Amino acid sequence: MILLSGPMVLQYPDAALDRATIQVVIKLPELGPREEMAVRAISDLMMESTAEYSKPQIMRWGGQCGFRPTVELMPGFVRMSISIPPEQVGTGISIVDSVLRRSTFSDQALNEWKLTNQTANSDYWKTALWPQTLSVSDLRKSDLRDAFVRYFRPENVTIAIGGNFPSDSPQKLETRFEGWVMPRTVAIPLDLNRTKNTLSNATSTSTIELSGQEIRLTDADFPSKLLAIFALGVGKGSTLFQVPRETMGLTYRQELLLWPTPKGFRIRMILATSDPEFSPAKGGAVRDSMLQSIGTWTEAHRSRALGAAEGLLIYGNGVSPFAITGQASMGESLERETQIRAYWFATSGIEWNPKSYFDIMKLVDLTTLKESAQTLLEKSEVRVILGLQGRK
Amino acid sequence: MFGLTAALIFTFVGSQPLAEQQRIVDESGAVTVFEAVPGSKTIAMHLFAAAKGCQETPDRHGWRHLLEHLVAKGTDSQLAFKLETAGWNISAETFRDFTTYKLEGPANRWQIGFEALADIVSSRKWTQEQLSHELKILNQELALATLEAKLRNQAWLLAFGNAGLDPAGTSESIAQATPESLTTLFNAQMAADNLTLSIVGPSPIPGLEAKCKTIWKLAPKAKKAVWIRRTKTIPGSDSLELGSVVFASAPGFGNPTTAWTLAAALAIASEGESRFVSYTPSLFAGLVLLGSTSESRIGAVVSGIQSQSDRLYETGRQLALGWLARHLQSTGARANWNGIFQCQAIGGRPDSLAQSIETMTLEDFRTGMSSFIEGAANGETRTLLSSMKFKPLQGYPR
Repeated sequence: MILLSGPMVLQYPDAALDRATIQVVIKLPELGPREEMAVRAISDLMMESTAEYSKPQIMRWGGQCGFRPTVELMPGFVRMSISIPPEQVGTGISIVDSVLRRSTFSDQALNEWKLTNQTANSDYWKTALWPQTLSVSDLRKSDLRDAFVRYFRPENVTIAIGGNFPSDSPQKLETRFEGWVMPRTVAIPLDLNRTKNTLSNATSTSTIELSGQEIRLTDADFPSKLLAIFALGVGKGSTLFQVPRETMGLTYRQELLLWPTPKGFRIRMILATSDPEFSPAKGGAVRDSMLQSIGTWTEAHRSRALGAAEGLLIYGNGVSPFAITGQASMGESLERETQIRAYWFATSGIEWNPKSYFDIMKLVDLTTLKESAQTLLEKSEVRVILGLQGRK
Repeated sequence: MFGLTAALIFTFVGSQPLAEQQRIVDESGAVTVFEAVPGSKTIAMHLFAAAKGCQETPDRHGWRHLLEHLVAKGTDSQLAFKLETAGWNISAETFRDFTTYKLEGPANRWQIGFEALADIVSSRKWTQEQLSHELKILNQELALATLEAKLRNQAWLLAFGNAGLDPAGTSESIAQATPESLTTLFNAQMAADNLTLSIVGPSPIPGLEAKCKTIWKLAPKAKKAVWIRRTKTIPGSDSLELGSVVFASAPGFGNPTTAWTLAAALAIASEGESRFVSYTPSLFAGLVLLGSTSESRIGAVVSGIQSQSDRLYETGRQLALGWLARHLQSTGARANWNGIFQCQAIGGRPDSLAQSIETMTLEDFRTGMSSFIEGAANGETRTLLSSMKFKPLQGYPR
């Protein structure tokens, strides 16, 4: 049996710009550890070589506008990004097609990938974001083949073209992928051992995560929860910055991330510490101190959260909590804007409309804000990955 | 008092034009550069404080880093909170040749940026307790240094000795700073003659010159200082833990060899995973670094690639043009780029670097490659460089 359906194609033209960008979202279900590793390897290897292009060719054509062409495993999806001058959009479409459907995945490339990734746990932040339960040496070529057929399918793919491109480019994209067929596969059960036996952190740094609830894009109170998230963890005036870092001196790096899930986002507050006295119990103390701080919030805190939200959502300024674009900033970037619009629509069927969220956020009063933040934090689970210092 | 407004030429880097800049030189020595990006919703106001007169030394190693942390908090420790309330944000960073305070926000609220600038340049006093508390946070930062950063620092030390000291500092050296010594450092670094304000926004700011003058008047008064110039170094290589690095001499952003060396580094880096290239434009001798966080012998890789210079030429050229274009992609990136060049030399611009890449011939590219090949062969640079001396440079442009 084969399926007949093409990828969704979206377009966001802006003729005033100097380039076009093609952003691809390949949606993924929740994955078990072996599959996640296979999809990561696929993502890292897709641009190594294809039936039509070598890596240097892809980098040369796709790097002209200053952005390295990338394929990257993100939470809940794989993103592909390539930017090209307007007159070369046809070549860009050809590269996207070739990478998406005809990557070669040589044995040599896979072996080199394994060598490069065998020390993954030496990066404390990556370990915190993507706790691994397997070693890369466990990965087989057949894992890649199975995962590719299962997930890199037209029904999972959304392609957005943004910026300055010829008016027939979206049509050319659709035509290009016409008749893309993949063998039918069956879903495999999720490996529920995912969170067990997390490989430990190989550096001296420990990480603490306050892992919060999932918030859904379709929730009626999504905007008010979003304001609580800005108050809790977005910006240097946020509680996550002010309490564990500025007051406790426990950390230099702390981030609140909205981690994509099939229906919305999970709140993840992660902080790194090299405190030699650190113990898992201190993770709970961090949460308690933050909860205490919420009790002292005033109208000034509400205004700051609104200001930070306005800066980001309306002006594209500041650090973004959305773990969608591969970069912390939303910025005034064609690539990030096109990526977030593609992701939002692919995931929810809703157009990305930050102004509508901000308009509702303005109506949230201080009492509601504090209650919302307290609930988010109280329901968070403390997860600690000890570094070498903490294991002493 | 004199004001100088200069309209400079257009050149093209990839698809990104280097636009006209308005430059205002104040009688105090402070410089403002403005570049318009029509249609932008944001404005970036980056203040650069050159390290002239307060470059890193072993006895005050990392003190500028501590100063940066404390200054960015604001005189009442509420600067970030106030900025964020208005949709703005602040970040700061310390390099060998300068410290930068990056203010960015909605373009229609540009006044907020000037209020923050006034706070940043204003004198203040700190207590020992504040310094000790900040040291706890700095210790956390130092402990999180990446392998890439460690490789970079190692290369700079090998190349320049104490003149290549990592501006982050060490816990021990930073702990020696006192409130008094930090005030002295503040007065030296934040003297108007050391300051450059780089602004990129959608349209010119009314009365910009007068607004800047108000800021410069708040800055501490100090005697004109001079740069301690780093002199040319010998390429080399080193390895550390799981990674390794090869470094090539970059004689300064005005010298075309720097651009060719950068193109060579980018081309070699594109041939493997986990490789990185590092170069911060400097008026003085610096380094283009090619490193790997997964290969213990990047030097051997470079030696092996020697015969492939011709194949890599076009890739290197395109990647170098892309590297330049990437530094011009947003108001913040442009403000940062303009400021880096301007704060080191009045009239300094990335144009010469761009032109050197655009006109780079195969022979030029081979010159860039040869520097890394030499570096790969020089595994034992430590002894070669230990006797290098550094001389003060008189009468330099800034």
